[in-house]
Amino acid sequence: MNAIPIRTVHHQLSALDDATLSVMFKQAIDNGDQDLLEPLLQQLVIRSVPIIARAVREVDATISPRDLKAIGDEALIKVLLGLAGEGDFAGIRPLAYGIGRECALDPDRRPAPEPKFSPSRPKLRLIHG
Amino acid sequence: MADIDAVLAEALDDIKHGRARTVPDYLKLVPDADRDRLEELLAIFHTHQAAAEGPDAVEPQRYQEALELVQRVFSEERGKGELPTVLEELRRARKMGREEVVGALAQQFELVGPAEHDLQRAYHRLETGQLEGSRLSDRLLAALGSIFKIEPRDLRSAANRGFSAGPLAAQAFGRGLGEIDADQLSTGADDDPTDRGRVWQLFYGGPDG
Repeated sequence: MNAIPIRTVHHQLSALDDATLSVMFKQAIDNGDQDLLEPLLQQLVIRSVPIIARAVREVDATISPRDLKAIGDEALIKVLLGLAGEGDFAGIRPLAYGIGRECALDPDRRPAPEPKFSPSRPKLRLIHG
Repeated sequence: MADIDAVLAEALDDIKHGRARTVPDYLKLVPDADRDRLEELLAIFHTHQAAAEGPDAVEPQRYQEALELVQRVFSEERGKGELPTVLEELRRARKMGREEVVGALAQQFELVGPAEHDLQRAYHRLETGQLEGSRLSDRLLAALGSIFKIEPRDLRSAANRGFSAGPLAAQAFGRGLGEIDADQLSTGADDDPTDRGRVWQLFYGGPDG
């Protein structure tokens, strides 16, 4: 039997609703189905990223891009662990939103340090003529 | 302290005019007893707004970074296992050094001196995939959960998935565990009441350790 092309799998998964996708992800984890796990993970991540970004910006509209990325990374790991774990979930979006908000509200979180390099001076010279 | 209705109105007006402060800034304006309620009301407002507007636009690069992060966590090729990578990535995202995590664990378990040194070595081995997930104690995972603000059961699940004692672990066990006596590993240290025995129980004593 011929394997289903990976591109077709992505297209099929992208058409599924969040809850179905989440259940399939859990089953793939439980069954050790590596072939399905990767496209499922990609779908879930693609759906989570903007939700997490929105949740974080709602808490802090002026957040720096570096902090947004750091909080986003933390939230994303927690979302995926939450999905893969034993807890119940309604779908990726409410899960991602709740965790993103929780991470952004964490009072123990530290702001990202400023980059250590200094901005280069513009090299300008007058042109006569 | 201001009235919750007044602060909510102020927050909504700020959001409407694009000058929103952080949610904690608004929460500070109301009495402690009203903070949960205000946070809930703001969340309800944001949920309605999100439903109306759809998700935020995110730079394409962010998707790529996110996919790379997931690849690092779940990649079997790295051979470290899921939990060690999760701990390392969470630590990085929270801008914590490894020594800070060890310090927090030492404080929680009241370990000092040689025991703290053992703790440092054991945590290093945990994060570098040299320990068996099934031998980590629930107490240790609960402490890590409180440091990284994550459910201990999620850490346990990660420890149980793809966290086998691979070549690195065999190497570590083969050469002993440094400051912790190798005899303790083979015979167990369940009965060792010293602080160093407590470190052993945390990292090698199993869920009940």
